[in-house]
Amino acid sequence: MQNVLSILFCLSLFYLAVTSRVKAYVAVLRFQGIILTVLLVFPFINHFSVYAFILPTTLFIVKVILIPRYINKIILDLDVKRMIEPTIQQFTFQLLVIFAMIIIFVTSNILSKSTSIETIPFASGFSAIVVGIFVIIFRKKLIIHVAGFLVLENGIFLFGTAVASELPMMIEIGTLLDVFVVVFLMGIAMNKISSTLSGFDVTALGRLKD
Amino acid sequence: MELFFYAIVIQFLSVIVIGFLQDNRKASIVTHSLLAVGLLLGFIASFTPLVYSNFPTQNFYFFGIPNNLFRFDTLALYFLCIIQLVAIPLTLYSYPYFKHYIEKGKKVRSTLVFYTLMLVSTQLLVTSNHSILFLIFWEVMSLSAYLGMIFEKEKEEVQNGSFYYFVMSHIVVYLLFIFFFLLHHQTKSWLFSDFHLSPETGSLFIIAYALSLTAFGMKAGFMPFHFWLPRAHPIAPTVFSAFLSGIIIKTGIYGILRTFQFLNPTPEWLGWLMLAVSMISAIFGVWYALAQHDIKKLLAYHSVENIGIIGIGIGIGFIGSAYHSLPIQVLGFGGALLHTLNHAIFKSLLFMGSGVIYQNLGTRNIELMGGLVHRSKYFVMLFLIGSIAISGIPPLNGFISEFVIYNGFFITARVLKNYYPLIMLLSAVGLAFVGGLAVACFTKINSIMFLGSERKEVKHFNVSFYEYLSLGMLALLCIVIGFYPQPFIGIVNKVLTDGFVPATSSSELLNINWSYISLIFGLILFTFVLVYLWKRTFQKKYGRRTADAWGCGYKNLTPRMQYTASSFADELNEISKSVLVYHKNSKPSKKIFPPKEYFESHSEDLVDNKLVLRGYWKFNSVISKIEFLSYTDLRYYIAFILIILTLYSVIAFLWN
Amino acid sequence: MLQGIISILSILTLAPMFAGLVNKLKAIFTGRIGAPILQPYFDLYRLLRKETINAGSSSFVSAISPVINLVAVVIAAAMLPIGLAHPVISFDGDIILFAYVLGLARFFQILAAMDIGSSFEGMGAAREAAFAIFAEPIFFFTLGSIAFMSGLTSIYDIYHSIRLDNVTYIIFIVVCSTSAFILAITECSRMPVDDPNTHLELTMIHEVMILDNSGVDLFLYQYSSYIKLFIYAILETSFFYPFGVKSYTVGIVIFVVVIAILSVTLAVVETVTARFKMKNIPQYLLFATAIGILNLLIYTFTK
Repeated sequence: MQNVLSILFCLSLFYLAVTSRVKAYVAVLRFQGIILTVLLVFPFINHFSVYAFILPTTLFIVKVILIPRYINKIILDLDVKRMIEPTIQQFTFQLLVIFAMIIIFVTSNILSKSTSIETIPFASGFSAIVVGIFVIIFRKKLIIHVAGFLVLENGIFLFGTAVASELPMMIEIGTLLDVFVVVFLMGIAMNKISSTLSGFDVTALGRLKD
Repeated sequence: MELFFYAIVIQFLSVIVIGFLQDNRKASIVTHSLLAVGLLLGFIASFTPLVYSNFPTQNFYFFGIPNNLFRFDTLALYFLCIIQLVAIPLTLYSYPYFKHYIEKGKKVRSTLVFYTLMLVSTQLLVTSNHSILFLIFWEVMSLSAYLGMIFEKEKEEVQNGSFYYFVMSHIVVYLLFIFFFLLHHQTKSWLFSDFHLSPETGSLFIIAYALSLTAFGMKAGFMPFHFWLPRAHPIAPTVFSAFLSGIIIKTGIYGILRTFQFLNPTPEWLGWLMLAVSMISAIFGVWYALAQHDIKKLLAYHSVENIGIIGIGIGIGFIGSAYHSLPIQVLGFGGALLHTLNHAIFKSLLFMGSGVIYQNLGTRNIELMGGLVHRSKYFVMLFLIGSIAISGIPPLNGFISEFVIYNGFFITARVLKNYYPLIMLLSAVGLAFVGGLAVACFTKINSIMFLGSERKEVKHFNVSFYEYLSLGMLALLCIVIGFYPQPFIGIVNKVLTDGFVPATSSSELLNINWSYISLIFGLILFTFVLVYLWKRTFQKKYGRRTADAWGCGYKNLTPRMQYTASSFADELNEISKSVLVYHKNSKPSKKIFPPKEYFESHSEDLVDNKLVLRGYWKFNSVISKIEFLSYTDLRYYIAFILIILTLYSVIAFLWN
Repeated sequence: MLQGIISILSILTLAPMFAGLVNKLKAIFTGRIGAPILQPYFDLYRLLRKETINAGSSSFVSAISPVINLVAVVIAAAMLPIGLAHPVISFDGDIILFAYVLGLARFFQILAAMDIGSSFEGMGAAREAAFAIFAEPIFFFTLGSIAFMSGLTSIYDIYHSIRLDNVTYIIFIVVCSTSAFILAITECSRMPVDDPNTHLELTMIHEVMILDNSGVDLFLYQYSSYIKLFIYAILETSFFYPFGVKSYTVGIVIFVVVIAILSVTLAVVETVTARFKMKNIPQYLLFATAIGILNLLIYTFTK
């Protein structure tokens, strides 16, 4: 089951690489949130506990409802154009993602022989981290950077589940809160920026001086 | 094997004859007839043992005295056969080719000498058993090809391109010198038959392989070293460029295979390296080819692609050798050997075809051609056969060798489980991708050059009898190997059992259901004829006429409105823009009555541009700094030599 | 052998009906009555009795290309099993021949298009050449991946080796069939990639290549494109045969059911999607390839 979810997770990463709409990024974030929630619920099907209830619920609320809705609100409020602004050809980006993924899978398979990690969730999480970074590097739009950052965070989450099957709950919740605060701050900052600068390009930020 | 040497003597005789004949025309006739006879004899001499005897003669008796200078093992005989198979049609072709220049009043005697020398030295090269002899023939081959290449030396591009080739072939020779010295140092012998190094020698083994692969790979044109091919091929006379692309780059493959015989079993990573480099050569070779508008340059890049495909086979063979697996080795090396033969055939066919076009139209730019099919239908058919074969499409010979290589992938995946299926699948996808690109590329040149209507008026388009004959011979070979590959597979199998794979049970290659494939190809042909006749009867019944093409209601369609080669390839070049250096310059205007606009696109080679030329300028600037050392007086140089000698001896003294 | 001959004959006769079915369903989904299912047969019959008109600058390539197209497609069809029947042509390595025989058809189709000497055909030919390159890897990542995993190289054996006995393998097959669906759409010039019903020559791919053909030539082209669509449909359905059943009749029944489902899917996809920008098609195909690669990575590394 974990593998199936990992496949879906990776598919969403590919979709991220192929799409050129800002809205699609939000949809992908939502989708990944659902996958992660299911992934968390899954081990607890047989033995129910309160802890098993808290984390998935929080995760679901934060990742599937709050953050995407907030980003959508920013998009609406600030009238963000619907096209992402890539700095390289989409095609090249896609190839980059494919090759990165192959390398990651092969290396994590080699790693899994000496350690006790599970190859597929580990590799999927790792690829999500790499793809998140790629998104941040090769996209100009600020809102996409936020999305890339969130994908990266999802990756870390999946990565964590692969390394140790149960992470301490409190840490997870802490991370979630952290992420939420970051996104929130980013939104406020963007609101402010938009009132002073006309564009949302990272390139425009370069013009800011203290 | 004495017959072979008589054949060589007959061929060499033409050099002497030319010395006595002042008249260009007579010299040409005599040379070509001598060469044709000599090559035919040589072919009989090398082909018969390959087919009829189980273990061909190993040693050669020079007028009754046994000696080790030459050795005729199956690998040598196989390459000898390939050389002669290409050289016979090439000689037939070269007669009208040079006649054309003689009529223009150009002196061709010296070039004929170089041509003969090139043929003879290449034949001797693959049979020589002594490394110094090998190097001598190698040098003669390279130099004669160079000298032939500068036939039209007054042109600037000729000087540039041939300089590339000259420098490259010298680097190769230096590396080979070191390589053979290394082997000599280890084995205390100069003979190929004595060379052997096992992987236990450690770093020495790796250094030897690195030297050999760099040197021979440079000659063969693997990807980072491919830059000389597209420079040298277009500028050489067709006879030379066909031989360069068909045979001389194959001597690099011959060298790599020989090296494998000296140094085996190979480590596994070497197989991976070979596979990766070859895959890159194949994919980018054909992708660069797609962007070219110069027919010969395009074909040169296709040589890079096909060398890549051969290299893939060798890489599979190396992997098989690392795992001591016979089937993998057989299919890998078998595919490589077969593709070497096939590529020699169809590439020389295509080069000769491009030479015919060049002579008639005086241009190599395909954008200025078009509609040639209405001039000479049969010529176009011959060229088309070569194109289908090189794209690896059934039922011609290109498919057969690619099929063997695909089988190599399958067998590797089956024998070495683990993650091999994955990587072999990726390689298969790469090869399929290359095939698709080759289809795009060859449909491009065939349709732009031959189909449609004439973009520029063609004054005359004559194809002489000899040209038809030579092209037809090669096209026939393409068809025969495609429809009936069994004898050729048998020969390749014989080559493999003698010196590549230790045991004799190399039946994996024969186990492929060749007769079934022949049957299917026959079926394709049969159905084709049937449906075609059926179609003709219907057309007879309901009529057939010609009309103008649909132009959206616009009547005055001119040939200039046809689709061009650059727009055909644009879709694909756009995608790879970041990898290939592909420029587009255009100046569109938005006025209602637009002024003159222009558009141009051209592609450059990444390695050539970024690495070679830049390196050359760097080197040049360093050299210019020590220019003050160069004097016109000879005595200074002699003084320098003395100083250097003293330095060397001091160093050698201190070393000991 | 007999089963194989029955298979190939049924492919040859039923192929136009499949296209008719898809068109009919599509019409129903868009709220029209649509042409009858047998319409393709009528069209073919009509074309057969028409005069052939060739473009002025066309050559022998135009004359032989439709024939080669049909022959290549029929040979490819003869390699595919219907139900669990043994196909006519089947040997080790026929998966390669299958891909390359279709390449032969494509080669001549492109040449014939360029033979007209008009820019419309040129555009179509260039697009066909470009997109085919990206479609080829998809084939290898679907059927080829099963071949490499199982070590079998004959299409018939490959399909027989599919056993849906563990979860990963089921996922593997489902994702493979998704990729194969995208491949079918591309190769047969269906909706998100190419619009078969468009009126503007500039936006066509396959239709524009046969713009200047008529009569028997057009008959041959149309017929082979129907067969091609059916071939890819069979390729797709073959993934779903053996739910543990190995009987000839059950195979046929499953075949019919899956074909019906597939035609509905095709019709739905054609109804709800719009054609992509030409520029985005390579991306779309690469996406399908990426799915294939991912699928394979996961299958390889699952213990």
